[in-house]
Amino acid sequence: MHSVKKFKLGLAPLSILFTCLGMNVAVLADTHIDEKPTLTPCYVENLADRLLCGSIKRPLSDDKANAGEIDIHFAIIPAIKQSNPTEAVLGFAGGPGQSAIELAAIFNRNLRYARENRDILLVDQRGTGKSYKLQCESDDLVAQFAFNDMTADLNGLGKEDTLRCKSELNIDLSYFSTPIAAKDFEAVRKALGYKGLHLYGVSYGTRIAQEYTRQFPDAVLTSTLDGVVPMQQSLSAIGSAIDASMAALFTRCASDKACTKQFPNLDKQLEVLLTRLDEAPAKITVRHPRTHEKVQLVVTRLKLFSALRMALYSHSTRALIPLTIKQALAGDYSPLVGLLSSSDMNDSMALGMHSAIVCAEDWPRLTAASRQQYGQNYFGKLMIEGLDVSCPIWQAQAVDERFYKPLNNDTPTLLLSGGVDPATPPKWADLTMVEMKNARHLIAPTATHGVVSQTCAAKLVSEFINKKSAETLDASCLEKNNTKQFFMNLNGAIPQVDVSNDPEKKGDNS
Amino acid sequence: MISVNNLTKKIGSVNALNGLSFSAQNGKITGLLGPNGAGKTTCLRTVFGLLKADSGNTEIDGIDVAKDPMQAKQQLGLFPDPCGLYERLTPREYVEFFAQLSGMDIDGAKEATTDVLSKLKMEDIADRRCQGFSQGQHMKTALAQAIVHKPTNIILDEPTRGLDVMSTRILRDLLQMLKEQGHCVLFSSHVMQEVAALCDHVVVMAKGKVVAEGSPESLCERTGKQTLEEAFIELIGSDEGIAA
Amino acid sequence: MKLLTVLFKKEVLDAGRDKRSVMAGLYYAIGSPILMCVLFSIMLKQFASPDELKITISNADVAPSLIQYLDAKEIKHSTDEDVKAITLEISENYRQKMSEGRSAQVTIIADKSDDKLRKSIAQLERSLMQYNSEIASLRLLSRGIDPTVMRAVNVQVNDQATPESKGGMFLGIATLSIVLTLFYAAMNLAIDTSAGERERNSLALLLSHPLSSMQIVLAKSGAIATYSMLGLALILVVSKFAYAMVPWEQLGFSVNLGIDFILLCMVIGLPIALMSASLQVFVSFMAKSFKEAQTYVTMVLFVPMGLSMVTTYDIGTEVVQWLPIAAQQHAMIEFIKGNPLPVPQLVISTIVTLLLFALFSWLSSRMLKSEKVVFGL
Repeated sequence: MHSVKKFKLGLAPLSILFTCLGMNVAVLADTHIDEKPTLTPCYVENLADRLLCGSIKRPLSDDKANAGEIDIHFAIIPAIKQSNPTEAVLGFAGGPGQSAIELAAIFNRNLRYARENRDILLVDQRGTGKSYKLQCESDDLVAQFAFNDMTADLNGLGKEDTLRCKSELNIDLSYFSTPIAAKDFEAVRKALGYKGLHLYGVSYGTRIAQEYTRQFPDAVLTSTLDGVVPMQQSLSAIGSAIDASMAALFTRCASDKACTKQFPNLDKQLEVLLTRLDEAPAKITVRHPRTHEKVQLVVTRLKLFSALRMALYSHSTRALIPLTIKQALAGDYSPLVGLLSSSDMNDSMALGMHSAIVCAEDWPRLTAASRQQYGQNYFGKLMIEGLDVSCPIWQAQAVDERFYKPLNNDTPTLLLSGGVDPATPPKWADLTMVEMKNARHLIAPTATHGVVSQTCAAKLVSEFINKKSAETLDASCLEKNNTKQFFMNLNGAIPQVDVSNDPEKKGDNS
Repeated sequence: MISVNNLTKKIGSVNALNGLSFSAQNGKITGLLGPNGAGKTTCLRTVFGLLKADSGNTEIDGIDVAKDPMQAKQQLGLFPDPCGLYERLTPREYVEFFAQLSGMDIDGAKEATTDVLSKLKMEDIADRRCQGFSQGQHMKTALAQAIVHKPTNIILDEPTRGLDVMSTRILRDLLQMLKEQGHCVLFSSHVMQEVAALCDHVVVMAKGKVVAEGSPESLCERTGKQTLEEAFIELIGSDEGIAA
Repeated sequence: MKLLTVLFKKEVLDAGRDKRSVMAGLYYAIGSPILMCVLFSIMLKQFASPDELKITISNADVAPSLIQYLDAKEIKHSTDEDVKAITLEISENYRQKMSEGRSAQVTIIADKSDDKLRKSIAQLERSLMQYNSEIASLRLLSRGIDPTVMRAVNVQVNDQATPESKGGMFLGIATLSIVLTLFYAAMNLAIDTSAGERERNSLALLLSHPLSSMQIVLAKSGAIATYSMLGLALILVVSKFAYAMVPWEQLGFSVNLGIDFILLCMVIGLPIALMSASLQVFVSFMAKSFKEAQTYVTMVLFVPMGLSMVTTYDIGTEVVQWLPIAAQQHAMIEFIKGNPLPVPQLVISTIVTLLLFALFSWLSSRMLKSEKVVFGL
């Protein structure tokens, strides 16, 4: 009944690039770690190509032999032309909590040039997808709409939800941290006989890519980090990234004549709206975005801000933000309902695994100073509060101090950042590479989160992999502006035309 | 020994052979003399089994060519007209090839080829390709092919055609030598001097039939003429197709 | 048998020294795959990196959002010389219709029969459709409706193809050139050793020797087949390397001719080579002269070429798959694609091929017994 998790506990995914739904992997043969795993043809949603799926057995814990085994599942998108049979591109999904195999279609598109002559290897990180997915039930859309986070005891509900989820999963989340998961990837690499890997991580995937590189430097030929999460920084720092991305959007509107005319003082307007909702949430009846039935919607600051935050990830939905704010101020929440429906992630995100990561890696290291710093932003504060409630319940063992050291190596590394990324802004990448000796950071000024899927970077990544060096890449194509024009009204980028005095209207009535 | 018995052969509407009978003995050179179109080549081809006679038969050393061509042909050497060289092979390869076809094994064929090439004084051209050979060189190569497997019977179709004096002399010596070795040599020609100078036995042919046969001398005697040429004209009743 | 060996050796030696004919065969074997690969590479280049599409867009000012969208898809307004003869005309009332949520008209003005434009027109149409669906989605979102309601059925495709099997058409052309090698590589040699031999008068001499005409025919066919197989081996090796250099992967498939494929082709090819040789010998002997033989052989070779084409362009009926050449080529294609070999078809067609070889050989040897044929009477 109560869906605090999604909004309150900071579990909202860092990446909504990947909205691949469902799962469609063929039944796989059981295999043992000492022999080459059986590969079975399989298919995943939105990708017509035939993949090869398999799994290996891994001990749940390296230390405790009696902890049992789990199956780590993987899928290979076969190279078009197998010119480098001993190499593969290993794709790491974001979240944390997304299944790499379920996102095969997106990896296939982002890595289409790299796939021309190398396999793409996708492994469901432990706790996600087919590899012992740690998922708890979350509320449906109707319940989420009706929930009023202003009146509810958030901390109490959060505790309750976490306890319920913990008893459902009934497993020690300490086994699911990034450093332990990295060993699964290595085991898969060895089982499949790849001599070297080209890493490609997106969002949280960049963190595990870095951890993998740290533990198994010899297996890593190149590393591409797209939307980079620095090892030495908590995910809670995301608040300022969201605000900066939103600010960039307001600046763009302000610099555009038509937009200012239509949406004057957008930043102020948003403040007005949020304050108004803080005072009294809007309780209205709206149409369900799919069934069209009448449902109750309680609009609070939290819901509005979360919906706008998710809208920041893609240029298509960014185009709707000014309109959403304006309409909401006028009492029309239809655009907001639309945005809420599009950020409805179903259960593609393994929320238990998400908690395992953030509670073992991001929460333990929060200090008074960082709490103070990250808490300055609305969303950062929200996230920290959520973690403070759930992490003590999960009792995931904190990772080792060494985990937080920035990587110091000479592995060829390509870092990609979007200039208006609402999750991992360019300065995060700068922080990541402070001690790297062979790294290059490329910024696509107008891109959001996940540069490869929005720009020409797919070609650059393939070139980088082939050359094993980022030095000579011509990144000028990243400059291309890929923003979309703001919706001026419900019908598009063109404001209502006043027929009587629009000069372009002449001759139309003939 | 070659014996031709009552051969008839129609080619188109022409009776190329019309009851032809003669024989060529071992140790003798037999000349088949006749004007152009008398049926000489047809006769020789029939002997080789290339053409089938409409009636009559040919025996080589007593073996009927039509009945047992393989056996009969083993005892034959042919010098054809035209020569039928493989221009891309050397005389050595060419002769060796045919030696093997005539039933010799590789070593035997090699030895016999070296022998015959030296006998014909062909060492200088033995390993050059036949392409561009002079008429004489052609002739020698073809002759070497015909005698390399030392057949009892050697048939030469117009062997002197196009030969210069030196070559003709070589050929003549060679035929003499073969005769002395006891071979049966049969050759066709329309050159009187050749026949007169070489042959022990002359078969005069016209219109597919034997007009007369015997030694050159006996032919002259019989017709009462001084030379074979005159005797020949007398025998065939015209001077058509005679080369002086 | 011994005679056959002697004859065969001589034929091989003699043919081998016919530099012109051998070279003609080799040129085909080496040249055709290389030529095709060059053509394919050029074609692929056009496929893989479609240059930005420059068209004329009239009245662009009224639709900045559309223009920006097209620009992101590499479709631009241009006044350069290389602008395509495509005009996208945005209607005068575009702004009004768009803002009112009615369909705003844009018109594509182009000649669709122009082959060079067809791809570009399709690209433009596709991009406009995508723009339509994107704007439609956002319009629904802004009205509070989940755009997935537009997608009544979620169509998923499980493509059974592999990267190897996707190159269908190219494989057809590649195997066409491979199969035809067996007919064209030794064509000149076949004519030379039969019609040529007769014209040079050596045939009569050969026949005067104690051997059967069947031996001669078999030796000749064998020698020709040997050179055909040599041509086949050569074209396979050249193809293996040449095709590997074409960047097929940019089209999403690969063409990989492995050693096992080469061996398979050699095995499948041998009966065809023998049949082809005996056919060409037969036809050449039937002709009265060398020139005539060339004409006849060229004409007769349209038959295998036709069978091969039918397979290449996959226009054959079920029956065709059982015919010689077509069936063997089909087997080659299936093998590259990684599919199971059509064994029954392959076996039947190979048997038929060998029977044809026997038939043509028998006919040729019978002809060599005929005075008319030998002396051209």
